[in-house]
Amino acid sequence: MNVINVTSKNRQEAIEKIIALGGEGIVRCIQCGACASVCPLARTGFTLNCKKLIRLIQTGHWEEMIEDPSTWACVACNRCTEVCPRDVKPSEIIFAYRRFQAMELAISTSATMSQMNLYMKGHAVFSEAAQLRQKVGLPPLPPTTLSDEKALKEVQTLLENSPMAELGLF
Amino acid sequence: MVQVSTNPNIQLLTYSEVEEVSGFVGNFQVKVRKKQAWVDWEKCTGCGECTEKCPVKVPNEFNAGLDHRGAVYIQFPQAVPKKAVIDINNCINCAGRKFGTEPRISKRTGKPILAPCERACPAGAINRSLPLSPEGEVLELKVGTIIVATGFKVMEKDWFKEYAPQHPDVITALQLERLMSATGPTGGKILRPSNQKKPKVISFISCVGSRDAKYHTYCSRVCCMYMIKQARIIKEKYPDIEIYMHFMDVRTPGKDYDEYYTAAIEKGITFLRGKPGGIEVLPDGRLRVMGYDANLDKDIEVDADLVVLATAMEVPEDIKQLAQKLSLSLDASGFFKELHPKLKPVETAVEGVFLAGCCQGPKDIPDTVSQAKGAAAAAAVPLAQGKVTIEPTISEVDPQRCSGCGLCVPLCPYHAISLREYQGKLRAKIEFTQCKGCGVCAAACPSKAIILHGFTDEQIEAQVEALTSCW
Amino acid sequence: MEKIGLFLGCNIPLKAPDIEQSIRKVFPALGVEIVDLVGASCCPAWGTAPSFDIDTWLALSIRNIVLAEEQGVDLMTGCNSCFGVLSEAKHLVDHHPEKRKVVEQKLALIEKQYKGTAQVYHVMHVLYKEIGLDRIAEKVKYTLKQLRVAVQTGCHLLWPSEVMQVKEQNPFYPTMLKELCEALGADAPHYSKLESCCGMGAMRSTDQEKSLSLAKEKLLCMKEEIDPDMIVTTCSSCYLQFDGAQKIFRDRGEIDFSIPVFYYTQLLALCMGFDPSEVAALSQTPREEIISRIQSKARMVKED
Ligand code: SF4
Ligand code: SF4
Repeated sequence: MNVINVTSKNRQEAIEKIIALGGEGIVRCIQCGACASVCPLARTGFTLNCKKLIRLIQTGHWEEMIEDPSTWACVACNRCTEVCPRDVKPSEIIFAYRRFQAMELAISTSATMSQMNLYMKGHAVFSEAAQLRQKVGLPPLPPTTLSDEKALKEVQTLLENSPMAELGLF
Repeated sequence: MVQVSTNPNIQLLTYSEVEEVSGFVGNFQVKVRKKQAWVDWEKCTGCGECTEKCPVKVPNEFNAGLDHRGAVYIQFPQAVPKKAVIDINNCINCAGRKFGTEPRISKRTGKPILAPCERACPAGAINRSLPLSPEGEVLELKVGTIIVATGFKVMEKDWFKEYAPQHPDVITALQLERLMSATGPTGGKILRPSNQKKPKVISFISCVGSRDAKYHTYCSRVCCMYMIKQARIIKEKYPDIEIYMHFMDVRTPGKDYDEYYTAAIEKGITFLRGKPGGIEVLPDGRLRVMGYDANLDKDIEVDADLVVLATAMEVPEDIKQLAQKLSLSLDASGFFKELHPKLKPVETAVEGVFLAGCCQGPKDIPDTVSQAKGAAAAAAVPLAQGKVTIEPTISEVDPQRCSGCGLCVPLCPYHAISLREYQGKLRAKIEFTQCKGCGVCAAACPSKAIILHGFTDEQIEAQVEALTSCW
Repeated sequence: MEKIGLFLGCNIPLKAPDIEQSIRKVFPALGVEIVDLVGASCCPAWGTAPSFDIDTWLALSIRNIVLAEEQGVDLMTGCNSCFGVLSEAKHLVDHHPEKRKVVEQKLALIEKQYKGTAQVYHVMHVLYKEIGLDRIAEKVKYTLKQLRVAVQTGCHLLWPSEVMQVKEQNPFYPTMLKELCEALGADAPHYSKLESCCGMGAMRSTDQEKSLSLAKEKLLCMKEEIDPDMIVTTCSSCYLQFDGAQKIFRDRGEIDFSIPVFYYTQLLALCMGFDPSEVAALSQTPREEIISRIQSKARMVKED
């Protein structure tokens, strides 16, 4: 049957989990839809958007959406947060759910690459740019972690001392 | 209102402000300032000749800023009493006719040169030579009970930045009401303010500023019904206008209300559940409402010619001052607080002061009428009986112990305490009809001269003992 | 403001270094010295630490802000994403003492200290608020009179307005970039999707087609409504999206026009007479033609 038995779902648990991951506003959402009306995810037809994700969690869904990549398409534009009449901060709910997905490694390969780059180079978006830079009259390396070993070590220390380290991404 | 104005037992004071209230139930003294109208109301017949001659243009408050009025104006055609006033801050004193100055004499005709308003008045009600006081006149009234019914205002559209408030075709529902009125700026024709053309598509947005943590968390209660009313009237008059109504929820809990709503659906008005998050301004000046249909779980767009925002009801800014004058308290949303939400809905913490209408909370006309009749009846009871029942748990001063320090006088939130002469000395005296038994004075009195009946030290100690003893 | 710390991020120094060069050229010429935040890292991007662990995100962001503090300057970035990540991090840490404590503990591991003295600004804010339209207009050597631009402010400069040091009067109807373009002589009319998202960032890497659909919707809106001579943006991601996506659409035969795209300081640098081979040299959508039109004798309003 294509029916959800809501009483059998543990709504409290799902809500507590999302709050622990940074989505405390979820309890205030009244499902008015203002966020979804301006959300790029909704406009382009992703299976999830801020409002829908919130509803799923409010009704006790948790594991079901773990493989859904929609949350990873959120551009963090925060337009939802600006228009929400209940101070839910819907983008924070998207990110909170992402954290659950991330810590379960339900992420794409491109996302994995970014974490590796962040650790190895200090830059999540990395490409060899020496030629381009010199072409416009700049030194081959920018004055960032790319040309400062001590600084890179600092970034690595912060990453090594974080829950991210346990995921074996870098 | 006309009936009120002609009733011999009712004195109507319009264009007036309450300045000060003192005394207590049965014996209130109220100072009322009758504002200076600058027009002699004994003579003014409300013909409106003066208003047509005034060269000044000020946004017309009564038409929600959609058109202009002069500096001399009659607030609206059905005003009671129908009398003109001069808005002195905007009056430019034509012909140098400041009030209290003599007119110049025309060399040509030898007659005085008058301002257009005084020249226009056939009744001679405007005489700018008179040195009228800008302060108006203060009346002192003695009244037994008071009903507060100061009403509400609606939020302006400028708060709602996501809804293109800079655009003239985004209007508040109150402005639409004026556009629909036969006495409004368009004579009852629905025209877009930007180009005075009839709109083909109208979008309504509900809960604008109501149910919103940024503005007001309460529901304004009347918007759903008046929007449906406006939509139905427009649809009946102009069946070709398409109407879309964006709702968070449709709330129609009243006798025959839901039937009114469902009939609107049958009449072809489209209801969309979901709060729009924005409006895009299209190059031709039309407005694209960025909506969301919660039932379809899909973003939707409506290209509208006119967008109507049902902005929240709220209290007027000066409600706090009035509350102070009356010693009334306000609730978390800023409305006057009733004594008990269920059992004392028209009474207040001040004996003899009653509430009616939206100053106590948003409500529609039937509810307001019911509450007003309740308040009127409740206010009449003490007047008819000539006496009131008071609570036994109130405070009393023992004048023998009181040192007359006066510490308690300013502390009392109900202004019940004053210093009176007692055996040749000043002693505190609590007016028992005003005392609410809060106990602030009893706790503060350094001489322990005040007892709060029912809560004497002995009684409280006995209670503590009973609660803490083992059995 | 005499000096400001330039936070580079990733996209600007590694994908569009001509934007970096344009920033390095225009600010000193307008009287604000650029200080490098040596050893800065990624902000970190939304898809990295902020998507895994809040405290790690905050520590990495605050470390970058501390680099400015240590030099006694405020921080300025040209990338909207960096601006969003850093200002939100700072807002969180400054408003939640318990978060501040966690961050301080983490920073102690690398012997850094957060004082909270440096503000986070975007390039646009510094140009608009600190330098001002008049000073910019004074420095214009080539005017953009009779050229029409489509402005693209970019989401992270608009929302959430709560965390911004410098705010638009109406974030849904932004005017700062419009006024900055007008200061160069250009015409910058409104178009209906002015404040909408370009689709870049996480959406581009998650679902390229959906991301491109947003870019295309916006591009067509600009073309149909105002037919601009160029697109001007204050966001490096929007820049990369509009520049790159147009090439894709043209290659696929989906569009038959081409609108040059500039980051604002690139255009400003051109108007100030800087060498295009340094400040506007790398793009997928051709810009040579419009650049030579801008830096032409006919447009010159001031000799060197
Ligand atoms: S705007 Fe806020 S209250 Fe409305 S559906 Fe979205 S998160 Fe919920
Ligand atoms: S921040 Fe994410 S969820 Fe919110 S509107 Fe933007 S894309 Fe949608």
